[in-house]
Amino acid sequence: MRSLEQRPLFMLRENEDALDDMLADRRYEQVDPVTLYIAETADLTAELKIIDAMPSWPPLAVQLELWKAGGIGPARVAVMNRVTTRQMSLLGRSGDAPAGTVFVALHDDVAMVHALEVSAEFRRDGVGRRLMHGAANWASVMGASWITLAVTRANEAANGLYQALGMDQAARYHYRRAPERFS
Amino acid sequence: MMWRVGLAVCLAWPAHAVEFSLPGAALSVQIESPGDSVRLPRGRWQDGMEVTATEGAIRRTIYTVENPALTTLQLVTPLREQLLEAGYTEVFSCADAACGGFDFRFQLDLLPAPDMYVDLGNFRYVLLENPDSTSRLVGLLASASSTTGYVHVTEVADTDAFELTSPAQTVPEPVRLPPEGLVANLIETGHVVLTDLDFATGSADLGPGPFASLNTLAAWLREETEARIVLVGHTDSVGSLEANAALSRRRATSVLERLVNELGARPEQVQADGAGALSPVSSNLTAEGRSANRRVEVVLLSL
Repeated sequence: MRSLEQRPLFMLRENEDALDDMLADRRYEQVDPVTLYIAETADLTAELKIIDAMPSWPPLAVQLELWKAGGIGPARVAVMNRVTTRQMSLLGRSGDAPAGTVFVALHDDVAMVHALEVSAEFRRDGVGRRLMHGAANWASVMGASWITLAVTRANEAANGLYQALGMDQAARYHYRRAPERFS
Repeated sequence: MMWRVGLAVCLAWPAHAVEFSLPGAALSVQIESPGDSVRLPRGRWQDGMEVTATEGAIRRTIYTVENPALTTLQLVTPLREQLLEAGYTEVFSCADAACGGFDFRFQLDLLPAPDMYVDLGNFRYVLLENPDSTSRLVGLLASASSTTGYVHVTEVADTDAFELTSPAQTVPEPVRLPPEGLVANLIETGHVVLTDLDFATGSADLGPGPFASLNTLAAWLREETEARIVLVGHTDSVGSLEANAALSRRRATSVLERLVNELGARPEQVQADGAGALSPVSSNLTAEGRSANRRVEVVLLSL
């Protein structure tokens, strides 16, 4: 990796404290601590106007724009396209304006939410909450018992939303990246 | 003005136009527009570039091949060779990311989903030209889902080469996906667009039909008495927000009434709502785009 000018990167799960400590001692920096949230789908479904979280696959151009504005570019949209199981995107609104978008895909009994993005000008308007309910409604129709997602711990707004929705923290992980040069 | 035509009516396009044959493929949709414009990129996408639109008579055709093993190159090659043999020269071709990512893809004025499917990581574009042929410009776009290969053909001819004098002389004969596909799609994904409905411009009244999609949907609802759906109307962006919201809801409601009053679905199974111009599937800048945006979709609420 070093010869490719890449820095070694380790993924650390919760039961790997010994390795984590060892890497910390060697000045590996902590990167992107992530929390996995999970809820029973039935606990997250809600009566919603369908246009509060309008399903569409493939995503509409306006959704690609919303994602792009939030830093979710073509590479990550390409990943959504590569999903071979059932997939859906939902467009959220604030009044008459497209205001947010989310991707959700199915794996067996689990629906995984990804790339929840609310346009900066429409934050704190319930758009994210309605999109999450919409994702759960879709997951419910698709027969998924669980709804889950991963979010970096640095994203306070998102963590607040998922906790307010009553989702449980199922697991945490983070990465450790080697220092620029070994001393 | 735009209408869907069946194979029998394709003769409206000049007889000496290229007749495509693609082994193993079925023609799934064909739409002709006697005077319109279309963007056919002549190079890879670069930031800030504007693709000039070509004007003329436009014909768009989608072929599908039920063979997941075919690559986009294999899908596009038979048509490409046929055209080269007919004296066309290749102007530009590219594949996947090399075309310029999704910016490139969204320059292409393709027929919308679900008729067409484009995998951004797996598509191939070829533009061919022959000033001596009726279809002077032909754009090919091939992509594939996990089950099906898609080839979208865009042909541009001179407007006066179009022999069709009045749409009234054409009997609209929708070429659709098999209706079973609609219910399968709805169950599989929870969402489907009803693409064969027709509403008079500015009117909420559903045409007399019959509409294969509604017959299929109603038959399924009669059988699956637990199934509940919501119909969502959409408009183009012409008109005020309030007017469009109301119009889209009334369109969905007239579909609901057809399903319940004439086709035997139970009222508690069907709701109607309107999204106005909130969710365009296509550009509102072209007549064709606006037409695609005026639609009714079905969302599955429970089963």
